[in-house]
Amino acid sequence: MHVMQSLRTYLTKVITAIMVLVISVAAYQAYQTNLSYTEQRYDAELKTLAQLLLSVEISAVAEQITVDESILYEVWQGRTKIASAFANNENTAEFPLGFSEQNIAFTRWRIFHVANDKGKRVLVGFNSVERFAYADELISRSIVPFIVAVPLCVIALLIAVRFATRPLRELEEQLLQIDFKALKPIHLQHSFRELRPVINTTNGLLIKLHDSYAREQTFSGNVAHELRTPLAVLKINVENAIQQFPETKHELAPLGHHIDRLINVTNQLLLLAKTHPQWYQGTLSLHSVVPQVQSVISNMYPKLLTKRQEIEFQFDPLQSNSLHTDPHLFDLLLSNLLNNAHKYTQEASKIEVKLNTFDQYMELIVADSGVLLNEQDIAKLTKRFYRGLQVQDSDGAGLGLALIQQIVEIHNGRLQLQRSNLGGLEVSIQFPIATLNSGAEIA
Amino acid sequence: MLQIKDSMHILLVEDELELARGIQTSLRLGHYAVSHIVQGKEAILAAESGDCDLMVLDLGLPDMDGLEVLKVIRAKKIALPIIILTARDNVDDKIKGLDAGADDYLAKPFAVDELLARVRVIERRLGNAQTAIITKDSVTINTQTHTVTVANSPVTLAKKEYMILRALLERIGHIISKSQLESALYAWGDEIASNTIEVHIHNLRKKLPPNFITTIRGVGYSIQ
Repeated sequence: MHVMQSLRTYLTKVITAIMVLVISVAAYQAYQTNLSYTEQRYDAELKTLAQLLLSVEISAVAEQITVDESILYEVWQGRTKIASAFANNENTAEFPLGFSEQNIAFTRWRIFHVANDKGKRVLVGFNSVERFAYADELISRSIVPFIVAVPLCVIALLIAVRFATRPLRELEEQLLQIDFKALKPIHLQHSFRELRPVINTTNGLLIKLHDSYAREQTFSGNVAHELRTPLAVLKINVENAIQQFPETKHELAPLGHHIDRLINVTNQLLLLAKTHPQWYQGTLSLHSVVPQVQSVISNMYPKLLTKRQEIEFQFDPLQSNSLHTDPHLFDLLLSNLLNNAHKYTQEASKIEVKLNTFDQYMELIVADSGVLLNEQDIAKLTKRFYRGLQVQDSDGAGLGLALIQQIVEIHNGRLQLQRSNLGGLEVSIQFPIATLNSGAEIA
Repeated sequence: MLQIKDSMHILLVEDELELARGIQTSLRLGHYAVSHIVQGKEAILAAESGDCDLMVLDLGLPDMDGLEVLKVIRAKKIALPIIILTARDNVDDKIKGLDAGADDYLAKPFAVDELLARVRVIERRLGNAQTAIITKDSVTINTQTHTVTVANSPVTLAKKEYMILRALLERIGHIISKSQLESALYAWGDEIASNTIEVHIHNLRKKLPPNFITTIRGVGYSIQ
């Protein structure tokens, strides 16, 4: 989808452009019309002046009457100039009668030339440049209001657009603030009729989403109960049978193992549904994770002893070692990491858990001395981590990896795999230390 | 003075009959006397009667919520030990259950050994002679008489050393963290300095067979 700029900016720009264009065309049109009209008026005045001089008897010897420098006149009787202003040597007798544009003494003039049948000839001229300048100034003054109006209109326009798009802004804010955990319908203080279908449809979707989530939660709860109870019955009866009839152990022990796998997969599936980042209902708050790591290791220890695996936990007791987390999720994460290390390493292997605190993030590392891994193996494993839900091996371990990935995502963290100094795999998870609300994320 | 019994009487409150039958069998195989009821109200009456020593209470009962049963029993000031069972997935349930006065918590499905281990912890707390003696290799501790022997020879332990050894022996194969040991000693009523545990462990090791107590670096101590 092509993302357009802000509607408000877009509307303001388009309307301003149209307004400036319309006002400019109107002003230009007015200018042209006024110019033409003013020139006609000046021509009429020239003609009147010429006819006046033609009709008035000027008997005196040629006499120079001082007039404005922008105006010239000549009165001729036959070949005698009887009156003039603006002396020149041009042969004005050759000028055509009526209006014409002529160059006299290097200046352009608008001339009206008239003669009568008694041999009297009158020539009146107006300096073309000045005539245009007068007209231009006169007309320009008349279009000044148009030009001043443009910025005022733009300001008014900005206010109007801002006011008119208020419901859209409100809608945008509410959509951005939708809490995907609460999924409350949106409600606008100011709205347009046109927006109603958008709001109604959005609210309809939010309600559907909320209901389906509630159903999913109930379903998860029911599934948990419905699956776990029969699994508990199966498990306890198999264990009792082995206890009561030890000779059946050979036949029943594999059954017990499969029941345990079924329990594991059921638990993982339910947890996977509950820890989906979009639907995660918990809150992250500041917790010191050292006791948690110790508790998870303690819980895992009996299992590690079955393969004589050694474990140690390294951390700096002088650091705060606190993190915004959900203790339950953190337990799940570390339990799954340790479980993988336990499962995929041989007897008597070594597992190290490290906690490193830096300025911006905390790093949790689980390293093992499992089989020697090369770069290709690690690349494959990384792919496997990121393939998430698609991964499912026979032990259901893919679910554990998907779960780890989801929990890392909830924490806005980053997961990395590399070869550990112990020879096996090193899984490192970096958690941002700042709160999630501040939008902190590891780059 | 605690009453010492040969066999604990456990009251199982569970509405899933198949599961109840299985749990009863497990507990009987563990040599406990077991009664089974289904309703929450019956559980309250049974707790009031004082006929049982331990209640194993399921949270999902047909007539009332198990947590309510627990709260009513505790409101009546009945100190009966209660282990709650639940098939629910919610961590809050565990916290709520323990806050409401449960002594322990088990999520279904659970291993029989796990249930029996938890019952034994409570039994030991109640002072049952059968579980008062814990033996690991050549080391024996009697939680009734507070005596310790190594290769049948009595060993004198300081009070805090005894508490640490007992905490470790009660959970063989598990790690007991330094803070768990500190809480145990604190409950004994002593102020704990930061290196106290290390000092006691050091002294304790001198009185026990070599490598009897394992250190799990960064986590705690364990007897394997």
